[in-house]
Order: sequence, then structure tokens, then C-alpha cells
Amino acid sequence: MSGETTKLNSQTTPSSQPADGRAVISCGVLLRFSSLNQSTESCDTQLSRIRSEAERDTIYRCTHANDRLVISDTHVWRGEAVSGRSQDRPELEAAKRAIRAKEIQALLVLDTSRAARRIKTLMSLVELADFYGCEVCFVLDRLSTGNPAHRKMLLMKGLIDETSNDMHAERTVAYMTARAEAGLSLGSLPYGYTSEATQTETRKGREVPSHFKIIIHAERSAIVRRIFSEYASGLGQGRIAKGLNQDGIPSPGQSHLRDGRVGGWSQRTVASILKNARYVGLWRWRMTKAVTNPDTGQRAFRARPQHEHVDMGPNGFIEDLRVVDGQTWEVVQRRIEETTRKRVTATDPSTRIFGQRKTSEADHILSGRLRCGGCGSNFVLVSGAHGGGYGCFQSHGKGTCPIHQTVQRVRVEAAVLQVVRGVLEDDAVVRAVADRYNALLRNQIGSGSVELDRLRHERDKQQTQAHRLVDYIAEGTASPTVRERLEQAEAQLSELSQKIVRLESARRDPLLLTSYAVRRRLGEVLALLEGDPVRARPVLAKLFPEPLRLHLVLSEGKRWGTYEVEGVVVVQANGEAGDSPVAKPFRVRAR
Amino acid sequence: MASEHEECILGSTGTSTKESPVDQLVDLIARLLLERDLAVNEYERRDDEAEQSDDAE
Repeated sequence: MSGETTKLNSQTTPSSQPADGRAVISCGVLLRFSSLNQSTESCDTQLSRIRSEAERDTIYRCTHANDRLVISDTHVWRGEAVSGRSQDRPELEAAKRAIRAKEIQALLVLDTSRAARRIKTLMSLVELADFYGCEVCFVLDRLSTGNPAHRKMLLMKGLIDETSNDMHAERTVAYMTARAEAGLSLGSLPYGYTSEATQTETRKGREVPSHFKIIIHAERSAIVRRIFSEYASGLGQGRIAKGLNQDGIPSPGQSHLRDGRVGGWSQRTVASILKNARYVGLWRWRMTKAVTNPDTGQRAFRARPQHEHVDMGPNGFIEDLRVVDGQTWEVVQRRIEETTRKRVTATDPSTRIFGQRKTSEADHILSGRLRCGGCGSNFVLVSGAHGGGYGCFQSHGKGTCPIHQTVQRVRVEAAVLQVVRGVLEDDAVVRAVADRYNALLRNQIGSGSVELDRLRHERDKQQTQAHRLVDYIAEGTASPTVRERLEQAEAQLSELSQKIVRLESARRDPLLLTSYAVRRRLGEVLALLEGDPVRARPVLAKLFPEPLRLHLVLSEGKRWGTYEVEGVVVVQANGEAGDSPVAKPFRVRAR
Repeated sequence: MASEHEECILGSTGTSTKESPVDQLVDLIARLLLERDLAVNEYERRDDEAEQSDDAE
């Protein structure tokens, strides 16, 4: 991209000016369409319209009114099936980057709604472009940010775009409410249900199925019944999940797994099914709404007030869609409530608030950094015995990985810390530790002199006061209160003198650390790292840039064996700026 | 653990993202060692003071 940009920018120099003598302005183009129902060629249509206007020189502009607009292929940003209200738009961010880097002098957009359907987003783009001297031209609107008089029009057009989007959303909700009240499907359905079209509609000249009726999926609803009856009979949620995996039943998310995920039923999947009231026939729509955190851009869900709920049957009840009988449902809900209460009261109250962990800090130096060598899933604490035991989550949580043996947490940590010890055996690293320690200590002693000055000043003040008191007593007019005050002053004076002597001796004799001493204290260093997981964990995560894999090496003729930790470790500091750190592979036994 | 005053002197315990992983490890170890030494020093000082006051009594 940079090479192309250089070429374009060089065209603006007089030597590269075309025969007509007009300067060439390199332009970027921002394209967007929102719905997959719109033609997927929509971006191409927008681009060809903009190109033809640019070639005919009919695009309204102010700053570059007499210049020739040239569109660079590397500066065309497409947002396909992206909502104009979305805050996460890679194409818009790419355009902003090019504006900041001054790669383009003008940005062409078909109309304001293609830039954004939020007035805030539109105006922030306009302000950014203004600051970096880039003119934004809205081709169909005949508006340009180069013309100050157009600012009010841009605000109005942005308001219209946002309002029309709101109205469109209201129409969609009204349409969906009618569908919901008729008990028709609105899209995603819980596990155990499917839908079938009851009508066809003509859209853009094509016959498409519509008005999908929700029906019970025979096989999957049997699984739902199995889950409810097993839980009601006393089986745990995790045990139910393992049983389903052992029987080879595909989990609800099995068909759309992200890359590298193993899938399978988990305790959480089972828990969410057991809490879903739709299985007992209660179908209500719009019980929650999605909101976006304006600070982080993250989505969250909030409960809607009851008057906004839409019943999908009489009082929200659809008998035909009931999978579980009322009695089983009651038993299951009572058990969930009891189990939750037991769990909350059984745990240490100092570590919990409202039944949840108070802190999100990891407890151990390798938390979240270990993977199973067999299936690639996380290695997590599955046992609390002997300081905790790590095991494969797929094996212990879902029963889908054959590697079931656990390994003591302390053994894995000791093995990894031995690798850290290896890094610390390098002379340069040990010297660096000693130098850093001494620099910190010198800093401490240096700041001690400030403290020393303060104490000396305080001592002088106390001394003057004590002298005055002594003179006063010598005159023979002192009361017992004055004598008491003199005693206090003398005590304070003595304490201050002691502090001064201590600090002065520390300044004279700083105990600096040598490389030899650091090497001798290596065992202590490892224990210190182990004892401070909150600070050690992020540093170790960088030192071991890839997750550590635990391989089970079976003993000969046995079903069990020993674990080996495999990974890469960064062994030396960065060289020149831009160099990547040198990483060395390792494999050590955890015992 | 270091006292509030010592923490202030030692500065932030966070590490810079510009440093290499080994530099960050070096910094953390130096801080942990110094904090330990200061804590031991402080403990011994208090112990000495307690002994002195016992002797005085």
C-alpha cells in the first residue's frame, strides 16, 4: 500500500502534473451495504457510480475544486453486510487510518448514510478529516466538508439517516411482534425445536418460503426430556453432559464450531437447557434487550420491563410446544435452587460476593496457560487434593478426551520454574538482575536523603523549642505543665536523633547485591515468583509466548505415566528495535 | 510485602510493554528480591527495638 501511495503522492509534484496542468489528488472510497438481502454487488455498484462521476469530473468539492481526482485501488474500503449503526467497522477504521497517515487527500462516499447511520460516527469522521486536511465528498448529496456552509446540511442529513434507521427498526419490530403473537418463529430457536414454512412470499421477483411455524424436533426433544429426567432423578449436570458425549450425541453448537474447538456437551450447556422455560411451554418474546457499552463497545443484555414482553400464545403458553411436564419442571427448578444455595454457603464468604468470585485475578502462575497434548483443550484444576491437580477439561468436564490422568499443580509449576532457572543461569541475565536490584536500592537510599533532611529540620526545631523551655524554667516561673512539655520535647528529640543515625549509617554502607549473590539465591527467586502469582503470571505469559502443552508419556505396559511439559521460552532480550525475541523450544518432565 | 512507603519508592510494580520478556523477568525478580530484603530488614529492626525496650525495663 505504501508503495502505491508514494507513487500517487509523487504525481502531485509539478513534474508529474498531466498536460492539462491540474494537480492530481489521490482519493479513497468508502463503501457499505447493510443487509445480505441487498445485492452483494451493491459495493461494486456504488464504486462504479463514484468512479464515473470522478471521471466526468462532476463530484462537488471545495478545497480541491480545480484538481483532478484519482481513485487508488488500494484505498477502496468495503463494508459488506455491515450495519451503519455498528461501532465495530473495520472498513471505516481503515479509512480513518489512511486519513491520519495522510495517504489520501479526499475521501469519496456515495452519500452520508453509507459513511454511518449514527450522527455521532458521521461527525467524528468529518472532524478527523478536517483535522488532517482531508476533504470528504458525499457524491449524491453534493455536500463537501471543504465547504463550511455545508456543515449544517451534514448535521441535518446525519439526523435524517439516523431517524430513518430508527423508523426502519420500529417497522421491523412491529412486523416481528405480529409474527410472535401468531406463534411463528422469529429466527433462532432453542435446542429441541425446528420450524417449517407455512406460506411463500414473493421478494424481488423470487418465491421464498415464509411464516415459519415452530415445531418440536422429535429426536432432539427426546434428548431434552432425557436431560430433565436425569437431573430430576439426582444426576449432576456435569455427569449428564459426559453421558451424552459418551453416547455420541451431537451437542447444540456442534454444527458451528469455531476453528480449533473440540465441542461436545458441557455442564453449562446442560444448565442452560434446564433453566429454559420454553421447554415447559412458556414462550415469551422481547424479555431482554441488547445494549452496547459506549466506553468499550461491548454488547450486554438487559431485562426489559414486563409490559414490553410479547406473549407468543395465550398468556405466553403454547401447549403444543411443551416438551417437559410441569411436575418434572418443578422438581428440576427446586433442585437447581437448592444446589445454588448449597454452593454459595459452602464457599469461603471472604472470597465471594453475591455467590461469585470477588476477583478475576488468576490464583496460580500458570492459570490459563496449559493445554492438553492430546486434544488441545485447556488443562484446568480438576482436583483440590495436594495443592490442586490439573487435568484435561475435555476429559474431566465433558468426557470427550481419553487422557484422564491428573498431574499435581506443584509438579507442573516446578517443571516450568526449572526452565525459568535455565534462563537465569545466563551470566548476562544474572548481572542484569543484580544491576536492577542495585539501581532500585540506590534509588531508595537517594530518596532516604530527602527523609534525612526532613528529620534534621524537625530535630533543629525541637532543639530550639527545648532550649526556650529550659530558659523559661531557669527564670523560675514555670508551671508543672511546662516541665511536662519539656520532657515530651526531650523524648521526641531522642527519637529523631535515633532515626537520623540509622539513616546516616544506611547511606554510608549500602548493601549492594553481586551476581554471585543472585546466583546463590536462585532457589529463593523461584519461590518468590511462585508466591506472587498476580505479578508473576503476566511476566511468565510473555516469557512463554505460546501455551504450554502437557503430554502424557505412558509407563511401559501401564495405563498411566508421567506428564511432560512442552513449549517455547524466550531466552534473550530484544536486540535492535524491531527484532523479535529469540525463543527456544523445550520439553521437561513434570515430577 | 513492602510497606506503603517502600512501594512508593520502588515505584509501579507493573512492567513496560516495550521491554522484552527477559527484561520484564529481570525487573520483577529484582523487585521481589528487594521487597523481601526490605521486609526482612524491617522485621529485624523491630525485633532489635523490642529487645532493647525489654532490656531497658
